[in-house]
Formats: sequence, structure tokens, C-alpha cells
Amino acid sequence: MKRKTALRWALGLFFGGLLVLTFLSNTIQSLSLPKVAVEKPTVGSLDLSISEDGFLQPAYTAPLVPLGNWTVTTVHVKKSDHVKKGDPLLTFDTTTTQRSLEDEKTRYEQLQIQYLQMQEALKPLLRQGDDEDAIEKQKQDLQVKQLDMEIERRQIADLEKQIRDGEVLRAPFDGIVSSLSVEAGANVSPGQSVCTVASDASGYQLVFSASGDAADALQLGGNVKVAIAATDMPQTEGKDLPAFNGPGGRVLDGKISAIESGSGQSGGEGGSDAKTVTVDVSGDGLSPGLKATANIPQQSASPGFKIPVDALHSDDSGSYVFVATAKEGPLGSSYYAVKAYVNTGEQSDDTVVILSGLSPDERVVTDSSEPLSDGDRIRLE
Amino acid sequence: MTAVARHAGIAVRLALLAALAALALFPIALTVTNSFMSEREISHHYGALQSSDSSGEDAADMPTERVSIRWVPEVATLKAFGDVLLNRPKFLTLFWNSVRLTAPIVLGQTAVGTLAAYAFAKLVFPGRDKLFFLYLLTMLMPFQVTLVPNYLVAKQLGMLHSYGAIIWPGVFAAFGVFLMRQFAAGIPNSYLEAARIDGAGHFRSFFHIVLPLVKPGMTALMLLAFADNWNMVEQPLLFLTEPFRQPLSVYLAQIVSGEQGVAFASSVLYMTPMVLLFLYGEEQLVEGIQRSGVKG
Amino acid sequence: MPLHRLRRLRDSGAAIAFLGPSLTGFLLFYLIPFGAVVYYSFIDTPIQGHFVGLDNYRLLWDSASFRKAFVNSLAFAGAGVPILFAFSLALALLLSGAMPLRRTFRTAFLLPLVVPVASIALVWQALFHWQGALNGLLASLGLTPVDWMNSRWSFAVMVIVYVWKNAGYNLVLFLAGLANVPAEQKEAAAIDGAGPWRRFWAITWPGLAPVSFFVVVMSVVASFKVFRETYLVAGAYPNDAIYTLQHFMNNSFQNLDYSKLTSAAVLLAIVIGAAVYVLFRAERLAREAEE
Repeated sequence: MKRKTALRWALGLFFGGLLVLTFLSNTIQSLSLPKVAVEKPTVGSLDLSISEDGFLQPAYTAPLVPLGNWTVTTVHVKKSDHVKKGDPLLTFDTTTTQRSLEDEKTRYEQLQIQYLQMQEALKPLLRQGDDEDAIEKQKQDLQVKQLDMEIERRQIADLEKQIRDGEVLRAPFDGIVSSLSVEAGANVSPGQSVCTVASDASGYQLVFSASGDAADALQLGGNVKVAIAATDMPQTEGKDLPAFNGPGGRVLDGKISAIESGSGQSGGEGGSDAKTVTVDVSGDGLSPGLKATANIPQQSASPGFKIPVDALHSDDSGSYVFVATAKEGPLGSSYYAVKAYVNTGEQSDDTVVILSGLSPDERVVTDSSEPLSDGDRIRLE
Repeated sequence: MTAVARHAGIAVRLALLAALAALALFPIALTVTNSFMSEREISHHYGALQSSDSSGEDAADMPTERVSIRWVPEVATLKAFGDVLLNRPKFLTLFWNSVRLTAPIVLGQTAVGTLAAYAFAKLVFPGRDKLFFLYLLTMLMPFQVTLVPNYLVAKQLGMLHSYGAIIWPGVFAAFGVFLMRQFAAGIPNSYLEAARIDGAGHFRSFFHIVLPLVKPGMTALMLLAFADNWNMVEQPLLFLTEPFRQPLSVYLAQIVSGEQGVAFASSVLYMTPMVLLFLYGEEQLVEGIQRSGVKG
Repeated sequence: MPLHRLRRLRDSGAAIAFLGPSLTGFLLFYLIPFGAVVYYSFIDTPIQGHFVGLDNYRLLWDSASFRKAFVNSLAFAGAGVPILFAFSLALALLLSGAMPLRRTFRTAFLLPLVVPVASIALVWQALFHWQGALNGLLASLGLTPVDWMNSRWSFAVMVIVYVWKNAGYNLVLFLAGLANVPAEQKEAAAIDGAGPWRRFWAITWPGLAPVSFFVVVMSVVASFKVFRETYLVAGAYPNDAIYTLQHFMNNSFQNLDYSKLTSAAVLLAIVIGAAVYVLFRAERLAREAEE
């Protein structure tokens, strides 16, 4: 009887145990094997499209300088104001220049008097007519004076022009006041940029940095779609602008005008191969600082299998991925992670093209709960 | 005959019996001990069975040229069991398939058989013996003779490719009726006579006298039916098409050739319930076999 | 005898109730469909077929694979049953009397009966494979290896498996038979100076006769079930030597060859039915002769 009881227990435990395992098998399985995510690679060219945000900068900006050491009396415009050619921007107090003009005028009068005196002094010499040398010298002196007077006259004209032209600083062309560095009362000196005006006619530029294979694939003169954000539209009152097409801003055509490598400014993310790309774009109603997005659709030259960058590993022998291979057994498939060395092609931020080493049906391990090594038993998610 | 000679005779007989018993137990014992081997050791010893598939790169992993039977694992491990039970959901699925096929047959066959046995053993009705001979004849037919009839019925009843196609013929298998009749026939008529005089009807006689007395028979039948159906190969092979609906018995053969590492462990798990049940009801089973040989 | 008739009537009513479930199932799943099989065996196609008489049977017999399977099955039963009979009887005799560990031995010999074939198929393969352990043993003894499963030896292998599996069942039957042989008669004969051989034939063997009959019947039935082992070890198309009727019918079924299948089923039923009838007849005659 003892034996029977033991056997009954054994039977009960056996079936009970299997029952429990049946219900828990998934849970238990998840504890024992590395869990991996797999992906079947898609065939095709790598999408190397670039979509970068930036702010529009005017292509040509004129720095405006005062003509004299003056003081600003009036500021007529504000930054970002739209101005037409000839519109006054700043008015200066030109007193200092006027004073030197008067000085010069006085000096000119002095010279005139000196000249007349010398002319008077020549007359008796001519009348005597014998001292040829003295006459000649006096004539030369007169000529020098005449030249001095000429210089003085030009200086006066200059100053007068300075005052005439410089008293009111005017917009040289239609554009936008892109910077204004003075306010009323400020003392300025010639050559000091007090104000810049961005030209409407010259168009705008979008500058951004790109890196990697996407940047390598860019070409000078390539077409770029530049999307202008609608929310950042400039204030356009009083200006007659064409109606924007679509509510979500508009898209303008641009061209890549410059690709400079090794730009210092974006050393952080792109590393040494970051490139600064300049895109020219023109259109009505653009203004500096407008947010814009450059979209450059392009694809890698050599098609292959596209896999996530994270799936690619490398060791001494090269780059490899883990491929989930199923071993079919009557009790169901068991999966193993098998190393497959691959040749890689172009690479974008998140995707890399595998040129060889994979076959279409292979499932590439893209993520795993534990570090894998070749031949590890795995569990598919 | 001297006592010495008799003792010597017994010793010789014992030695002979021990040798034969060892032969009988050899495959079972080997399966059990090898189920504790590691996958590596198994493929080393048994890899020659599938020489075409040599995946091992390591020289030490290369299978031996011939199968070498090893009794004791170098390192005893439960890994194979863990592998089967934890990492292969299909094993458990198929195991329960086997249970779902076997349990209804065993229970149904016992119930139907016990009822019919009473009629055949203790009731008098016209054509009884001829009908019983028909049952007997059917019981002796190999499965392949009843295969087509079973198939036709399953098709008519629309349960082709379902468990019903296997379970129903199993429930009505003639063997249950036959064995239970042998047991019921062993009950002295006087018991029933006495009950009848006490005013008991057939149903009371059956439930109060026959049923308690044929209990060992029911145990024996359950065991034999379980052994037979736990083992079934032909029916699922022919009637079930989906791999996930098959019982373990069919698939174990494929495990054997496909996954040696877990083959022994799955085999042990598969035979365990049967062996436990056998040990549990061995006496009844022996009695059942003896009864089957008694001309009633 | 009105009382007797009344009882029979009452019994008949109860018989319908008790036999009902079994008989319904038996008719539904075995007898009626078997009638349909007999019918199908006489027409050419199952759907809108025409009566073709014995054509199907002729075709069946003309099929080489059927003849091979038929002969193999007969040969297997013919060889396997006597071997199994002798082996189990020897085992029973060894185990008879007051043997120590009797129950343990019986358990050991019965275990193969219940252990599922599929679970030890690997061991059979490991033993009998071309690169199996048995050939390893032969090679180490300097003998030529034998391709056990792919030659005529496969027949012997299947007989071994058959004996291994069924010896326990017959052993139990024989032990029961031996228990019915009165021990006093044996002892009396021993005192009379009869040798063991004479004692066996004169006393033990007649006592075993009824059980022997059943052993033979069950062995024949079991010989048909050896298909499982063959299938699990050697697959659907084994060596010619062990391609039995079961393989033939399974494969016909897989190929949906109805005419062959139905006629083979009928033929097999007739052969087995006849064999069983003869056996039962012989047993009755033997019993009557004894009395």
C-alpha cells in the first residue's frame, strides 16, 4: 500500500508538473534564453536623404558706415524693418564736419589773399623786366599757391559732400535691416558698421552641416527643396507679397552653392567628416532668420540589404551581423544566433547597406537582451 | 533429487533469468541513463546515426565513426530535460495531445466495455454468442482492416482530421468488451441469483454486485488500453494532417532522427506516465492478462 | 416454461440497455462501414462506380507489392509466433515453481509491453544501424558488419523486437496455465521415475493446452502490431524483407488507392477470420477429444 501511495504521488506530481510547465513555459523560456529582436532586411538602395533645419540668411548684406565722426541724432528704423532704396535709416549730427569745413574755407580764403598778394608782387617785377630769374621764381610760387588752393577747394567739396550725403544714412537698395548697432546719441566713426541691410534682390542662403555618406553623396548645383515654415512667416503688412501656396508654408527650389569640408563649427556630432553645406534659395517675402528645412532626396549608389546600424558589429576579422537560424526539430524550432561576416556599403544615421554576406530570407538580429556570441541559443521575440 | 542439485538448478535458472531480464530491460535502462547525458556527449556517441549532418566544427565534437553505447554519462545533467520542457513548447503541446487522445478512449472504452460485458456475461438473449464471436473477430483484426471503415465513418460524420475520428472507434473497440466480459464471467451466478431473490433489478445488480467485483478488470483494461493508445501510431499518422495536432508517439520517431540531444529525455518523459501506471496497477494487469486467456 | 421465457424477455430488455452503447458504436464504427468496404471492393471507383466483380481482387493479387507484403506478413507470423511461443514458454518454465524474485522478474518482462515503442526507437536504431553498436561489436570481433535494417536481416531484427515486446504478455498467460497444473501429479510422476522431459509432455503440456490456444491467437494479433516498431525504426518504406501488409495498406491509404485498399482489407479480414475460425475449431475438437 505504501508503494501504491508513492506511485500515486509520483503520477500526480508528474502530470501536475507538466501542467504547471505548460502554463508557465513562456515565462520560463524568457528567463533562460537571450531574447532577441529580428528583422528581415529589405532590399534596396539606402535612403540617404537629408532633411536639415536651419535659418535663412541673406546672400548679400551691405554694411553701412557713417562718413564722419559723428553722433547719431535719430534712428529711423528698427531691426528687421523693410526698407526701400533711399529710405532714411539714421540721421547724424554733422557739427564736427561742418566745423572743419569752415576751417577749410577760412584756409582757402587765406590762400586766396596770399595768392593775390603774390600777384601784386609780380607786377613790379614784370614792369622792370630785367630780373628774369626773380620773375620766374615768382611765377612758380604763384603756381604752387594755385595748386594749394585747388587742394583746399577739393577738400571743401569733400566735406560738403560728406555732410550732404552723410547726414542722413539711407538704404542703398530694397531690403531688410538685418542689424542695427547704434542708438540715438551714440558716437560713431567712419568705417564703423552701424547698420546692415540685406538685399532683397540677392536671395537667401540656408547653411547646415551634414556628415557621413549622405554628405558625400551631395553635389554642387544639386537641387534642394526648401520648405519654409508657415508659423515663422515674417510680418508682411504694407508689402505686397504673392499669396503663399498652401497653409503649411511653402516649398521653394534651391541649389547647393557650396560644400565645405571640415567646418569647425559642428565638431560635436558629425566628427571630422562633417561638411558645411550652403543652399541658395530665392523667393519673395523671405526674411533673414526664417526657419527653413532643406530636403535633399537621394539614394545610395549600390543597392543591397538594408539593416539597422545597431545590428552591425565588428571584430578583428571585419564587420558582421548575427543571423537567427532555425533548427527544425520535431519538437519545434530552436533558434541560434550565427555570425555572418558582411561587406557594408553606404551608411546613414540609422541604416547601413549590406552589399554581400546576407541572403534575402535571413533574419538579422537587431536587438538582444544579452550580448550574443556565435552559436548562442536564442529566443525570438 | 538432492537438495544440492535443486539449489544448483535454481541458481542456474536464476542466472538465466537475470540475463534475460537484463536483455528485456536493456533498451529501457539505456534510454533512462542516457537521458542525463549532455547534448555534446550524445552527439558524440550517436552522431554516426546521422552522418550526413555533421555540424560540429570542433574535433572533439565530431561523432565517433560508429555508435558507441555508453551507460553512464560522463557528466550527469538535467539539461536535456530542461531543454525539452522549457525551450520546446511543442513537446508539451504534443504531450497534451497524447493525453487528449488517450484519456477519452481509455475512460470511454472501460465504461462501454463494462456495461456490455454484463450483458454478454450475465444476461441471456438471442444471438448472444454469435454477436460475441463477431466482437472477438473484430478485436483480432489488425488496425489496417478497420482503417478504411473508420475512415469512411469519419468522413460521413464530418470529423475527418479531428480527434473524434480516432477517439470514437477507440471508445467502441471490441477489446474492452472482451476483457470485461472475461472478468464479469468470473462472478458466480449465485451472487446475482441471490440479489434477484432480494428483489434487485438488473441495474442494482450491476452497480452493487458486478461493478465492485470487476474493478480489477477495469484497472487492467484501463492499463492495457492506455498502453495501446498512448502508443498509437497508425491512426494519427493517417487521420491527422496538422503536425501540431499529432500525439507524441508519432513525433518521437522524428525526434530520434532529428534531435538526438533531447531524444532520450523526451523518450523518458514520454514513457514515465505509462511506467508509473503500470507499476501502480501491475497486479490488476497481470490478472487481466490471465483472464483474457481463460476460455469463458 | 413460461417463467424461463419471462426471464429471457426481461433479460433481453436489459441486454438492449446494457449492450446499447457498445452495440451502437460497434455497428456504426465497425460493422456497417465494413459492409461498405466490402461493397466498395466490388466497384471500380468509390463515386458512381460500376460493379466490376472480382476485378479489384485480381488487380490486387497482380500487384507485386501486395504479394510481397502478403507473403512477408504470413512469413512473419509463421516465424515469429512459434519463436515467441517457445521463448515465452521457456521463460514461464524458468520462472515457475518457488523461484526467488519471481515478481521482480515478471515485472521486468512485462515492462516492454507497456513502454511505448516510440520512446525506445532510438535504442533500436543505435543497435541495428549500419554504423550501429552491433556492427561495432562485430567489427571488434573481426567479423563482417551486417546492414541489419537494409537486408534480409531486418526480418530477424523485427522478430527480436516482436519477441521482446510480447514475451511478457504470454509469460503471464503461461504462468497462469502452469499454476493450474496440479503439483501433486508432477511429484507423483517424479517419484515414478519419469524424467523432466517426459513429465513435461505427460503432465505440464496437457495442462497448458487451453492457454496455449490463446497464446497463439494473441501472438498472431500481436504479430500484426509489430508494424509500429517497423515503422518507427525503418519508416514507411522499409527493406523488402519487412514490407508487410500493414505497410502496403498504409501506403495505399496515403495514395488514396481505394480499390486496392478495400479489397486488401476484405481479403485480410477473410484470411484472419478463417485462421481464427480454424483455431477455435481445433481447440474445440481438442477439448472434446480430451473429454
